Amino acid sequence: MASIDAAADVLNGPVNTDRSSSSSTSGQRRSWWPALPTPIKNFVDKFPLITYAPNTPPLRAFQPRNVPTLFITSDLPLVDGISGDPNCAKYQIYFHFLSVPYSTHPATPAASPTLTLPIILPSSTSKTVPISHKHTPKPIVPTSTRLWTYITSLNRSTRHAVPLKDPQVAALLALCDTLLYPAWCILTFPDPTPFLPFLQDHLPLQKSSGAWLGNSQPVREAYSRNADEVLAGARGALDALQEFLLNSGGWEGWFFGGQEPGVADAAVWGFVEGLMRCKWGVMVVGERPELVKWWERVGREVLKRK
Amino acid sequence: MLELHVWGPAFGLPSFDAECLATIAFLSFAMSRDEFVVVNSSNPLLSPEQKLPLLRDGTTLISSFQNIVHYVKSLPSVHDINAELSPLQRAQSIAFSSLVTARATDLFDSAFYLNSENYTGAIRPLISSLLPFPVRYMLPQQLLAAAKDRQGVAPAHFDEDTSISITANPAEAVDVTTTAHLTTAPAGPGELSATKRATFRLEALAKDLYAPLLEQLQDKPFLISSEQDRPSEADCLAFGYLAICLFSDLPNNIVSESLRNKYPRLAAWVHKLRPALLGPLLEPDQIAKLEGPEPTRFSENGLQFAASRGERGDLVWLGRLVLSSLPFAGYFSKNQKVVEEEKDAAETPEEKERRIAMKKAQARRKWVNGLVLAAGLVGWIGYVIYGTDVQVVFVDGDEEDDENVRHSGHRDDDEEEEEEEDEEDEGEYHPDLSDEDNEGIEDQLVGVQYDGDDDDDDF
Repeated sequence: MASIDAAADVLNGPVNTDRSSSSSTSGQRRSWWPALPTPIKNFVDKFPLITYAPNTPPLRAFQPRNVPTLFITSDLPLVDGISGDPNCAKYQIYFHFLSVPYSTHPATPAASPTLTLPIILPSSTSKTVPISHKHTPKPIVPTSTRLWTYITSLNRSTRHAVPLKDPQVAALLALCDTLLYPAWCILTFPDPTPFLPFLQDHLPLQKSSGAWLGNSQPVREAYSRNADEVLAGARGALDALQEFLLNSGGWEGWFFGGQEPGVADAAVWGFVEGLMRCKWGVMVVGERPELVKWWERVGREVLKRK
Repeated sequence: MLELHVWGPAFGLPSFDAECLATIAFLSFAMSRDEFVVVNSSNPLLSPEQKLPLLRDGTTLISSFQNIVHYVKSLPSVHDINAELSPLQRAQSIAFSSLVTARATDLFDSAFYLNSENYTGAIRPLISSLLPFPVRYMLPQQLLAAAKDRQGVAPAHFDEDTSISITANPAEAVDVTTTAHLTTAPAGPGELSATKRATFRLEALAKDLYAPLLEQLQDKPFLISSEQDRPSEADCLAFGYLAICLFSDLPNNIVSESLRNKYPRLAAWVHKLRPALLGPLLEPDQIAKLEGPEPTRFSENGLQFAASRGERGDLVWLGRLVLSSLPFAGYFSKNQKVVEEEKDAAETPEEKERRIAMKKAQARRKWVNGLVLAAGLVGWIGYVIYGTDVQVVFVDGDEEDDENVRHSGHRDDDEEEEEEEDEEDEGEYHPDLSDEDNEGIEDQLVGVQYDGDDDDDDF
């Protein structure tokens, strides 16, 4: 009888690899399980069931944190913790503007529901984000306003920033996205146009981890246009940005006369930062001294750069 | 006289393409109407960049709105509409042009191409009606594929009918402008119907475009300037896109209805500018003339229109279209050369090293792809020859009736050598012998070659 109970314990118990210990303790517990036939009992006694403890997660696995996590591209190096991708840098500097603590995590676009980075995973304790029925914070994906709105909501003391829905701010953001980003793409990545696209699409050979951003749709879109036209558009956009700045108090002020830095400042700084990582950008942006001074000032005041 | 080649007419407008309308509007502002003619060629392959609108000035070809604007400004005796704007207003014009282009592109892609109801019901027939025979089946697909690529829609996910998930609970709401195409689950209990979901999404995109423009316009005659005679490039672009939105007639017409009902002041602005920039709406017979095969030319409110089938160049058009659709067509672009020159001129050693490494990785990837393809082909051919029962039969003219003389493709070399030895010993054809004797020798040959068959017969 004791041996039958032992077999039942083996079936019910979580972890047990020691047959002698299970036999000694089985007399104290009785199970409602029917007795096992002897051949099965002998088989189980000979080959005891072993249940392993769950594996520990990999060291680089993402752990829930108490601050929002910005998933940024892993393709480009960081300088002072700021990504070289303008689309990531602009949100990073906006966190700094609002003095909101955050963490970054390198990722590929596969981590994003929309296959675009960056995304934000709200903190585990956040109450300002949509919570799914499983009580897991949903990632916030980049759209025209969604990430800005979320980050702004983390610091409710922001009173003097230019409203996000101001058409001038929307136009300036569009200017950065449509004129500066394509130029940054073709200056940073080689032409991703494949020689045999059907092979590229269907063979798993090209899925190297560092090639996501270089093969992304914005890069392909930028290369589908005339490069002279793209670079001329970037120059025109930088002229326009400097003009906006000159009408907002110069390099000592903020865009659109705000009393504190806002979304427009963050976007412009992010794109200038991205362009300043390549020498073409240093040369072209350097021709607009007001913009360069303003970019350096933000770096000094916000990121404590020397 | 300048020729402006545009996409064909639709909805009573000279072109169904917003950028073409914007270019017509810009030329109407910048020069006299008798200095240019609008040619409804609907042939993007006339342009080196394969884009319309295309301005032809003698042998000079300029495509896209921005390039045409820059070129026309450089011409003598042309009124530079930006000259009277302040530097800040010029900067605003650039910024609002970007805003209009970015948001209208999203709206038009979603409303015209990614909405299956509108695409199959109106847009594809419209484009097809403007194109000659073979091209009408290819170009709409290319435009659709381009729209999908811009919006990041995988082909398998293309169908607006199952493209959005919006719940009644705001806490669980997702941003429809970005994630709409990613959720493909059909509507469940408590969710909106497919048509309403599509409508909801288009409304959100339309609001993204209309609301900032209305707020910027306020009571001014133009988006940027408050002076009556100072339009900007942004006004031309906004007018082009809004005119299409306002006058389009689609199965799901929420884009037009939203503009008329929710933003009447913006709609009134388009109505006010249209006569001066595009003239009155084209009559159906005028549109039929422009779409027809016969060359035509007429003037409407000073704006000159022309259409010529010769501009369409059917065979040349088809050939270039086929070439442009080949898999490696975009590989040899001149863009790479321009960018390389820019980078060489201004690049740090680290940047150059990183770029070269990435380039090498790409080249390696291409070689590996090519080798895998070649290995696959060789393996497949080898399998067909050696791994299957496929036999290649050679029959001489004198031996057509003799079906026994065969050469199997998968026999081993040893067998063939043995066979040759046997033939030397036993099966040699002797022309001196009679036919009966030779038939006897052939029977021996058959016995050697089909040894297995003989064994079977023994059983």
